[in-house]
Amino acid sequence: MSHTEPIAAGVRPWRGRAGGLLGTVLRKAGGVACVVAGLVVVSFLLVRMIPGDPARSVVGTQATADQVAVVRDQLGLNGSLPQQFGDYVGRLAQGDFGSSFETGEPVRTIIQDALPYTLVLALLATVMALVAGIALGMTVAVLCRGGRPRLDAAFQAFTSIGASFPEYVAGTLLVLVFAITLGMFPPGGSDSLDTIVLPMIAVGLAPTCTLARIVRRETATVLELDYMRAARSKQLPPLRLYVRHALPNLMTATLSYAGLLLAGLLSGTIIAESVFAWPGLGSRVVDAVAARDYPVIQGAVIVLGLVAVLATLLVDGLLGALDPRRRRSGT
Amino acid sequence: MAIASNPSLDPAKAANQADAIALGGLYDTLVRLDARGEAVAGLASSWKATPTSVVFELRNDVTCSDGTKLTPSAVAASLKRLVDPATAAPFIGASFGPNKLTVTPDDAAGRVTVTTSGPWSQLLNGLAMPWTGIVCPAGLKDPKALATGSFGTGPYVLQSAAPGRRFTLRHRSNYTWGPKLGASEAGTPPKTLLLNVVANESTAVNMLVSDKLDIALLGGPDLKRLDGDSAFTVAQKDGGTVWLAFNQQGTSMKDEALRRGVAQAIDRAAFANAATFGRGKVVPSVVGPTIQCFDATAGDDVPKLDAGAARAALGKAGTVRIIGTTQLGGGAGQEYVQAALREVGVDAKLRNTDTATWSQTLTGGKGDWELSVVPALNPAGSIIIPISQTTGAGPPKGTNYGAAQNPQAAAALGKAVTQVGPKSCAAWGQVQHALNARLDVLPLSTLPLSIVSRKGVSVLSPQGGLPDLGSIRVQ
Repeated sequence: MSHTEPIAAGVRPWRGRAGGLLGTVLRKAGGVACVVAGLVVVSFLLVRMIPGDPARSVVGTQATADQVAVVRDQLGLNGSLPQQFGDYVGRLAQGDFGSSFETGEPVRTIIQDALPYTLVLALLATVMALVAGIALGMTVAVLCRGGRPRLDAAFQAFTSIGASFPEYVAGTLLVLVFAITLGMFPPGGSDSLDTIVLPMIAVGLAPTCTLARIVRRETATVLELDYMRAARSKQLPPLRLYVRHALPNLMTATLSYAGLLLAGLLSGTIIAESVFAWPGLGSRVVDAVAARDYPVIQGAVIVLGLVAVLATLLVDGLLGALDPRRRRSGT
Repeated sequence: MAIASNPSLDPAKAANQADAIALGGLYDTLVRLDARGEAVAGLASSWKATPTSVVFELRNDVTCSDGTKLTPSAVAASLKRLVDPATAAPFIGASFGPNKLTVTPDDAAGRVTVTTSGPWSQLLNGLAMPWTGIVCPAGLKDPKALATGSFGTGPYVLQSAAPGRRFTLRHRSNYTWGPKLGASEAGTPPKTLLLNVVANESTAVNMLVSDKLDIALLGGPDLKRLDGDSAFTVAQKDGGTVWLAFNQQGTSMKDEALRRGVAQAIDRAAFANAATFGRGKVVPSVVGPTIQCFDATAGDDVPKLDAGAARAALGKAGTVRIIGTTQLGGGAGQEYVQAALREVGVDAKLRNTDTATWSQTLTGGKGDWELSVVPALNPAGSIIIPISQTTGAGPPKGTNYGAAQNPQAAAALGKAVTQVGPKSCAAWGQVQHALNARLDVLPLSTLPLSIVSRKGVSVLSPQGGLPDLGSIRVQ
């Protein structure tokens, strides 16, 4: 919970408003730098712990040991681990992620091409979860206030099932019904705007249900608070009552979850990308792991990690802007 | 059309099916092999082969995709780059064996002479393989550009590449020198060919039935969804063979009696059913049935299923370590082998791994496996590919995974490479017999591939069972 104690007049706390802001920014920047440094080290070491020789993977089983040795040299894998790490960090400092072992493409190009697809899918799924989850959770909470146990039970059952639906099951069922049987949406690809509808639902279904359950619980609590009783006693129109008075008090928990959700979905779209042939970064990472394509794995881990951290910071900022208690505490 | 992965756009780096398919549309070879394994004219209009050389007379109307005329010197430069050790082309052994290559162009006569340092009767066929696709001078000047562009004489030119998503090929309207691989059906080549990267076969079938794809290559169980669907034509092809390799390098499988026992424990029909979703057929040889010089009688040397004899032979086998890749049928084939060996009392342990781990173990030469199910894709229908994986030096130096040293097979191979054309088939047959007789390998099944095409779209499949982009016709 945030601090809510008032600051005594005339007493400058150890962090003043300006100093607090600067301090916060510096702390956050330091945190981001630490995360990036950690990602660089961990991704470099982890990929080298995966069994399998990248050079052998490039040339296949038909190549001789001499050919494999040539390729290992070309890929820069003959140096010691510290030497390889030094080379890697040196290139990274110049913004060079290296080139794919498999295709020779610059990793930067791969990320530039594929990341937007993953971001769009993750963002749309998050928006879907926010809009549908809040609407569903609030509606059920309002309708079930003081009664309608059957509706509540149905809601609990539906959201429990929905929240536990794996993406690949949801995706397969969606394709079967809406693409193959009804022909309403394409089953895969990325040629037109409607190709994203089914992947978005497949990815967003479980978070929507989880969020709806959180919102339903929070709404039920908020509706019993004194200020809501007072608002109801004034006979305010329902829309104003719930949107203007109840909703803002739900946003802290909702946005906190959404931040985690977006960060999780950046890597959680992998299965959906495969089921729907969606050309995002997740599917490229899966291919890269199978091929032991170190530069692609490392580049993707760093960029996805960085985006996740930035998303979390953005949500923190939003929460600060929306919640006066956080503004005052400078967190 | 769907392809399973991003293709390599550099012919020298070709190593898998997607590479062979895409490169076949972008780069021509001197000759091609038709569905019967016979060489047909490609960039060369005629040729004269001896055991150590082939003299090619080139067509004089061939142009590169940038409009420059293809000369014998350009062909020679491309082949020299292919065999340059710095290029590290993985499959050149399948084309040229252990030999050094000399390429002599004669621009005035329009002729190229390719000579091997030793007898190598498969030289002509070797120059039909996709990795020998001729790279035009513009590509040789800037080899890095080969990863992202096309510099060939093929029927298509790469218009744009979006790896992970799609490769767009544009048909060359002036392309008239394509090989005659068979009777093409009526229709015209598509002006634009979209190669969509669809790794998941279920998704590929979804896209086929939703009109989002016209051609796909399938090997898994999703093909069943198209059974009885009159909107599609399904052509069954052999993409290679599957066999059991016995590691004779530092393991108990050096003992022929044990190898025989293993062979007697395995019902090959049951294996084919498990590993290939019922579509594969039992093979008598590591050489596939569609490859020239395949010897069907080699199967006579494979012992029959005999659980009692297997139990007796394998009584002292100890622990048998099996390794396999999940790439083939999710690993069901090696699971069957493990079950069959346990059935006769063997302590069989299985490691089902991904392809990268499997290939490193198989080629590591560390004696850390006894048996391996080898799904040997043969994207160009070469007899050398399965033979080079079962004869010669073992790992880590060579590619004879089991490291079997079989004097009869080696002697027959020595004879086979000195004879050109069908005359060599008797010797190739002896190689196949010798491998089976000593149980250096156990041939198991074909590696079935199915080319699915929508009605109104036709495509030919020459050697290797892969669709030939140049033969696609749309009605």
